[in-house]
Amino acid sequence: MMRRKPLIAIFLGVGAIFFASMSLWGQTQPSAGAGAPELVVWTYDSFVSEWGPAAQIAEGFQKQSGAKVRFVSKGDGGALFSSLLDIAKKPNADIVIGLDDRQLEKALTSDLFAPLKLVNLADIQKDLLLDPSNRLVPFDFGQFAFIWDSESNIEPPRSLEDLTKPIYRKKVIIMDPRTSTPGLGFLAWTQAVYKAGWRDYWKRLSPSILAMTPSWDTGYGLFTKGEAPLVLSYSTSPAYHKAYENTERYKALKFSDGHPQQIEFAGVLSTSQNKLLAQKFVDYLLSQECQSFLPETQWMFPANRSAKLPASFSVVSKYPSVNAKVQDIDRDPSDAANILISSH
Amino acid sequence: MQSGNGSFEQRLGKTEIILSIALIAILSFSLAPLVAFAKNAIVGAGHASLLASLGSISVPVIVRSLQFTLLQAFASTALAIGIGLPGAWLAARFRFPGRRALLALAAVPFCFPPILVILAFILYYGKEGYFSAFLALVMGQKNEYRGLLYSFWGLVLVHAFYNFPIAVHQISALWMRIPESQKEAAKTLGANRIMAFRTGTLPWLLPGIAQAAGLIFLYCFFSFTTVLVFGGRTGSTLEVSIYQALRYQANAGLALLFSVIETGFALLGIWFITGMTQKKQHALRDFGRRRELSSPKGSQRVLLAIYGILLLIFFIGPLVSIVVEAFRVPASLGGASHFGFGNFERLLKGFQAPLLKAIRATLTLSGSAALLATIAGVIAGISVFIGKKAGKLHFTNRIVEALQWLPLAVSPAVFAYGWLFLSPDRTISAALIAAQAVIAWPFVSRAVSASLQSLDPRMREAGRTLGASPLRAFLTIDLRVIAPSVAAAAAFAFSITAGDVNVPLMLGMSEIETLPLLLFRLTAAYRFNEACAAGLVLGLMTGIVFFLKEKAIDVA
Repeated sequence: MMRRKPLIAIFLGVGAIFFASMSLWGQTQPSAGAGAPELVVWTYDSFVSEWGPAAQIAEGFQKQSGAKVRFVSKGDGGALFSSLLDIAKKPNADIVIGLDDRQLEKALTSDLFAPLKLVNLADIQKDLLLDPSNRLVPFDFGQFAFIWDSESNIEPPRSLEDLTKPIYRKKVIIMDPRTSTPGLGFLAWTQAVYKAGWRDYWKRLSPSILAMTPSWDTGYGLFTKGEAPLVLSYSTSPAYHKAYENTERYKALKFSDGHPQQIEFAGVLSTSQNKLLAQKFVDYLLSQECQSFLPETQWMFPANRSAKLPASFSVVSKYPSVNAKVQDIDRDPSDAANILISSH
Repeated sequence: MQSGNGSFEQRLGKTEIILSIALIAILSFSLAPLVAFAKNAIVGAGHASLLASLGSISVPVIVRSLQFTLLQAFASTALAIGIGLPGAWLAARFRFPGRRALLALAAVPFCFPPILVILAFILYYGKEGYFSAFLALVMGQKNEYRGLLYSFWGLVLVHAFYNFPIAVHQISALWMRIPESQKEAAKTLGANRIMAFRTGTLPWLLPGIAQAAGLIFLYCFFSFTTVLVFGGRTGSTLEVSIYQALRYQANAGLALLFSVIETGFALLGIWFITGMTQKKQHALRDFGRRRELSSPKGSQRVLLAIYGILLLIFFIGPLVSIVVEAFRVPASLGGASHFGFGNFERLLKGFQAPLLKAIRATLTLSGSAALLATIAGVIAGISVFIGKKAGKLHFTNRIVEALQWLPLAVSPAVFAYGWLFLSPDRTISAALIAAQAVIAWPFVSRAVSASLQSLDPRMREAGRTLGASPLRAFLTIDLRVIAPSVAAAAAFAFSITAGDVNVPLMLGMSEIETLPLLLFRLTAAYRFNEACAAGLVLGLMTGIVFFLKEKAIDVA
């Protein structure tokens, strides 16, 4: 009988682990209906990062409404959009923050979003309101631009064409157009400038690209670590370095091709069980209070006209814009990425 | 005698029936997701089906992906063997401090998930990394940095350093058994040292090298996270292509096509490995006990020292930098930093406090998966053993034995999405547990059947002559003997599942964030210091196998 004891101990141990894990497992399941309602927001990486606005928004909205908000990062904007259209699983969020104007048309035909009635919509800059049904509403905007490290001893490029010059070999970081909205924006930029010849441009650009990163965070992180002197970002990015590092070392370059605009949108999913509360949240996102801290967390311009710009934005200049749409959003991002991958 | 034997067989028959039922359960558990995935990909469920998406499939893209997958796997394997061979020779011939540590390194690829090692390599070999800084110091000036890490050779380097300890461990174990006498005989016949090695040692060593190479090749062939992070634009492995097709093109048909091609090539690799394993066993049968180790002399000492220093610089250095960086707290993206617990604090108390939640999610999800895997693995392992013992391999036994190769043959994406299609309400966490368990049970099963085979059959006989039923004899003798290896295998299963980032990434899981997922997110967002803090926690969790008596390497 003595011999059986270790055996029994093993079985008991396994059983204990099993039940412990089961009870813990119960706790990780989102508790539905218990206590105060909780809103789930799907968004992209930098929105929830340490320097992003998510924490402040969650706090502000809880103060106003008493409701908790949980942010879930889905990667960059492209990955976020893909998650919404997952083949096996419907999105279980209430709110989506961070689709952009190039994804707008496809997002609206998907019928994922519910129309919204928002008080603060009246204060939003009129030219940003691209969806007359108010299912997706703009909360901030900016201009794409390449950021240049002025201490890199390399001459700044003046146009998209300049980027293909041999002196920029492996000096440029861009984002993947399949997974990130800046990447998609860059694709649209090249299509606006080169029209049908965009594939050819990507081939010529290929030697200059050091990395095509899955998200803006990764690319900008590589850049600030000094891996390359040029990165695709926004004309507003220098404000970050002004505010946090008090430096004007990183400059947004003005290109002769003009600069595409990016408008970022938020919406409430029609499958949400908390539509009214979710609508309130989006209204808060557009409010003057929330919009006034977006510039120094999102590093974008606020969509609300009454929100004031911080001092750090004095280093930001507005460039001539160019209208840029993706020709075929289902095909071109993959094609573009494959051009860079294969011509390596 | 005759009648006693008959009743034993009858009783064995009963055990066999019970086992068969359990085996069928394991079988359907492992194969159901494959069927579900194939069905959904071909028929289509509210998305592009295979037939509908055939038109959008570009053959050159598939061919390029396959070419790249094979090329990087061959290069990585060659380099891993190249780095591993000197180590294998040293460990097989000499006694030296750190020899056991060198062999124990083989647990690294199994205990530390790729995402952690990737992070280490970025910190160390990146432009601002320690190694690069060291190089700049030695060379006097900063030479033109070419972004090696993000090139083809960077990828190969990471793969090679991740996998070379497997080569050291596997090859040295064989080398130790090859007697010097063969080589000496060749020498007395007038051969020079190289010739003597070629005729006296190499023929016996080659199957072992080939087997290790085959294994490393398969691991690199399926490489996902490393390529996802570093590959960027050098190329896309089949595994990454499957991920892109599923997550970004909503094209299950294309994913199916990629995974069928992948499995086809993986089966070739497995066929090669099993062939080489048999050859190796033949070679081993020719020799007796392993040789005594000798003390290194003169030039051999120099060689040892050089190998040790190179390993420290190139392999241990990156791992150490994780620990250092975990405690370095940056003030802003490009600004100053100081040392402290700030990163941990941020993860524990900061916005949404992800660390504690991630630890809990990892323990529960991977714990459940490991538990499932252990139960299934023990049953499968025992049945394979019994089948072999009885001399007649049952049909189900044969299948189970073949199924043990499953995680080396089928993309985790297929298991993950297959289970997602199967799970009620398409619950991601259920699919995650099931998919991870399917990937982990074969490791447990192999460990169990191997340790049962090493058991002295006389003990069981003795138990039976004393009147114990086969089942009872099994419970009291066999199970007690294999308990330590079951525990090691269970811990190993936990290591695999807890460190796995493939399945959650494939599933696009982020509502519940496990530790490797948190690590991936932080790394992808370039928040390295926080990533290191999370990585340290994950490393301590998965590294637990190191502290067990029976090491993970024996299991693997």
